[in-house]
Amino acid sequence: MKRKPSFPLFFIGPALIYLLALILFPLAFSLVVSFYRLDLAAGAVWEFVGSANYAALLDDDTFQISLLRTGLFVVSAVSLELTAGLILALLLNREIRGKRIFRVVFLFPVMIGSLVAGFIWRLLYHSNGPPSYFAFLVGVGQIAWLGSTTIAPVSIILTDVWQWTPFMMLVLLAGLQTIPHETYEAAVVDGASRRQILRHITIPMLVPVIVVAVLIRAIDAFKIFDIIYILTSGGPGTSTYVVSLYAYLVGFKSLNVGYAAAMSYVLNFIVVGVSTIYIRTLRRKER
Amino acid sequence: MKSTRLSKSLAQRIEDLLVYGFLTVASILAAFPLYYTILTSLKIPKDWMAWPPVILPTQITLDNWSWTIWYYGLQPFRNSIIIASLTTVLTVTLGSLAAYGLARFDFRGRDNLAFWILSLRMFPPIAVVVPYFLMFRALGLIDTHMGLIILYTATNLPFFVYMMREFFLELPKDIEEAAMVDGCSVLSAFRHIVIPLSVPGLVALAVFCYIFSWNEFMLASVLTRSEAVTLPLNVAQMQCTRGIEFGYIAVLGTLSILPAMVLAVAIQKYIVRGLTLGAVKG
Repeated sequence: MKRKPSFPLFFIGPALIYLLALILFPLAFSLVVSFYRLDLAAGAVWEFVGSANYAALLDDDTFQISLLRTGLFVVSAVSLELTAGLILALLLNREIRGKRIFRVVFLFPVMIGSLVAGFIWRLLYHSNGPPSYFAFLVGVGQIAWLGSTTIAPVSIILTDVWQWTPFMMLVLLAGLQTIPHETYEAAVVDGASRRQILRHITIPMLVPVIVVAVLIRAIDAFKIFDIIYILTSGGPGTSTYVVSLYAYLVGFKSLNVGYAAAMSYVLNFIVVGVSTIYIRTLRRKER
Repeated sequence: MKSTRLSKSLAQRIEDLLVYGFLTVASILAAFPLYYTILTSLKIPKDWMAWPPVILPTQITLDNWSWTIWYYGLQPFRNSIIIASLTTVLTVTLGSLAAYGLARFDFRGRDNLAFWILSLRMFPPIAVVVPYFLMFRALGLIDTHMGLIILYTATNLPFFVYMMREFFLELPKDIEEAAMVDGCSVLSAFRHIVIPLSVPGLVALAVFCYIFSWNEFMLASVLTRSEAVTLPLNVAQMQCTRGIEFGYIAVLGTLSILPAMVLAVAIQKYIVRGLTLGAVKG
C-alpha cells in the first residue's frame, strides 16, 4: 500500500521538535555552560574558562569521593535488589493463592516516588521509631541510623532496597512467566531434580531479563538524589555525598553553576555509557 | 510406596507453609512503612514519638489533618494535580502520534530513531537542571504551572513514545489496512481504530506519566518558589521549617502517597505490564 511520504513526519514531527528543543538543546547548553565560570551570586557574568572546570574536578577530593561513593552505592544496592527480587520472584512464580494481593502490596513502594520514600524512612529512622525498637528487641542497642558516618550510607541503601526490590521482583516474575511450561515438563520427564531445573533451565533462560532489569536499575541508581537529599542532605559532614547531590549543592546553594554543569556532565557520560549497553542489549533481543 | 507419597505431601505442605511465611514477612516489610505513615497521621501528639512506638491504632484523631490543611492549605496538592494531569494529556497526545508514526510507517533509520528517543530517557536530570533554570528565568517560566508542565512532558515523552510504539507494533495491521482500503484516511484509522484498540496500553502509560510527574522533586525544587510548589517540595520544606512534628509531617506524607496507592490497587494489571514492558516482551 502506498502512503504519502510526508505522513510519518506529520505523526513524529511534533514530538521530535519538542524533544530537540527541550532535551537535546538543554543538554548541549549544559555542555557549553561547563566551559564557563558562571556564578549566579556574582551577577551571572559569563567568563570562558575552557576546560578549567574539568581540571578542577581532578583536584576536588570531595568530587572524587562522591563519584566513588556513587559507584559503590550502585553496586551494593542493585546487587541486593537483584538477590532479594530473584528469590521473591521464584517464590511468587508458584501456584499459590493470594498472588494478586502480594503483587499489589509489592507495587506500593515502586509507585510512591523516591522523595516520599526517603521522607517516610526519615520518620522511621527516628530514635524512637520502629527500626530502633526492633534493634532494641534483638539487643543491639541504640543505633544512630542517620547520624553516624558509617551507618548513614547503610540506612540509605536499605531505603533504596526497600523501594526497588519489588521492581526487580515484578520484572523477573514477568520474565519467569514467559518460560514455556513444556520446557519444565520435558526436564521433569528426563528426571531432573528441582535444583537442577533451577540451575540449568530457569536461571539461564532468565538471564536476558536479568541483564535488562539490572541495567535499568543501575542507570537509575547512578542518578540517586531524592532519597539522600531528604534523609541526610549528604551528612553527617560530607559522608553521604553522591555526584548528583554534590553538583546540586554547588550549583544551587553555592550558585557556581559552571562547575556544577561540569560535574553533572561527568555523571552524564557514565550514564550514557551504561545506557548504550542497555540499548544494545534491547536491540539484540529485538532481532 | 504409600508412605513415600504421604511423606512427600507432608514435605510439600511444610514447603508451602514456608513459602507463605516468607512472602508474608516480605510483604509486611514492603507495606509497613506506608501503614506506619498513615497511622502516624491519625495519632494523638503523645503517641507520635512514644517508646515503644505505637504500631496499632489505639487513639485516633483527625486533628493532624485539619491542622495541616488549615496551616498549609491545599495549594501544593492542587498544583500537583494540575501539573500531573496536564502533563499527562500533553504527553499522551504528542507521544501516541509519534509512537504510531514510528510503528506503522517504513522509512530509513526508523528503528534507530526509536532507540535514540528511548536513550533520551536515561540522562540524569542534574545534567539539564542548570540550562532549564537559565532558560526558564529568561522566559519568565520560573514558578509557573506552565513551566513544569512543559518540562515534565519532555522528560516523560521518551519513555512514553518507546513503550507505546512497542504496543502499536503488537497490534495486528489488518484491521487498519482493511479500513483504509474502504476509504478511511490514515488519520481517521488512527483515531477510530488504533486508539480504541490500544486503551490498555494507553492507560498504563498515562498512569506512569501521571505518577512520574506527581513524584518529581529535583527539577521542581529549582524551578519553583511559592506559587507552583508541588507536593514533594512541600514535604521537603516542612522538614526544615517545622522541626519534628511527626503527626503533621505524616499527613503530607499520606497525601503524597495516596494517588499512587489508589492507582496500584485499581489497575494493578496495567501497571505491572507497564513496568515490565521494557524488559519482557508480551
